[in-house]
Amino acid sequence: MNTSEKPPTEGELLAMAYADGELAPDAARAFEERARREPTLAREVADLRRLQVLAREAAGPEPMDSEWERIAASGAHRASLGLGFALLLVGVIGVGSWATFELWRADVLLGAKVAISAFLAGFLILLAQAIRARMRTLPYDSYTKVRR
Amino acid sequence: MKDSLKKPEPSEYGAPSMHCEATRLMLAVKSGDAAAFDELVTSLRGMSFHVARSLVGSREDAMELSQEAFFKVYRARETFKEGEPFLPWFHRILRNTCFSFLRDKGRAREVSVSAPRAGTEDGEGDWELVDDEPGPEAGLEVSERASAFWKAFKTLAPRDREIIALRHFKELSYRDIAGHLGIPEGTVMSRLFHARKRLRECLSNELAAEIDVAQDQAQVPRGTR
Repeated sequence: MNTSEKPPTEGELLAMAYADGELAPDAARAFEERARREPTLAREVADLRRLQVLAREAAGPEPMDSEWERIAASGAHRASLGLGFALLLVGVIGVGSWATFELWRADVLLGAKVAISAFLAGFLILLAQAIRARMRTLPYDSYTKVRR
Repeated sequence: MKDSLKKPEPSEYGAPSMHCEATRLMLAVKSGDAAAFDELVTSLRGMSFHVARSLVGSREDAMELSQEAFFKVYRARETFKEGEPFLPWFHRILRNTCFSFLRDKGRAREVSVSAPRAGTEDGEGDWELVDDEPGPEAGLEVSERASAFWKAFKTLAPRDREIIALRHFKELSYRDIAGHLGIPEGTVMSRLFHARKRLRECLSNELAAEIDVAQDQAQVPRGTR
């Protein structure tokens, strides 16, 4: 508790416990008697009950089983997509390296080797730049939460 | 004051409380019982959803973060100590999961331990939510009153939000809230009292603003709308 705040009075705590249905039957009866004599306590209970009703209205329903199942499935879906992209990336790098290695070992004109290598290197640099730019802007992309 | 509160019903003495039941299930999970984990998730996911939503706002995010917290519990099952209550441990995991998410999104910053703010324990560090994200009401058909409620709710500190979520959204008793947060019932009452006081203050401003807007709209002549 923040020390700068005024601690609740006994009456306020009793009113809160009464409104929450937390008082023992004897204590609840005693409080009802007291609230008849002290209108501030009765008002406090009425205010708390209004808050309860409003909170219940605002809370909305809890997710249904089918929603939980959908969330669990979407997690597995995202994990499989991530795995798929990772494997694809490893494959592209592996095949690219192997092709470059084979190309330079093969009996091909030097100009062709340089041109094909430059093409592959340029492609990889542009791909890396595009991925980097996308990763940087993704948290600020306001369209990622659009619901269709 | 404590003497005035309800005691557990005689029938409840025989039945395990939610608190003990969750700890029993977690110990079963630790010893390799996969069915106990499913039971644990099913019994706690509603509470976990309400707490997560009170912190992150969105319903979808709250469900995913609850799910993530349960995965973390499963992964860390070997580290759960026998004799330790499960619910406060789970609550810490859930809370940290939500704050990691909010921090990654730039929607939370840690408040200095030397500057405790309303709704925090003295000297205890806390998080300040700085989000302007849509509230839990976004995407739902809600009344103006409910919308005013969420606007006021979003101005509260995380600790206030959690205790209000447990009491008002999940409708837990003081005893169960104490079990969840690992604090005495007296502290639950004190926290709840202050959290509600702050909520009611903000709410009265929000509801007054809503009424003003409604009155302004009612005064606009029909042809000009």
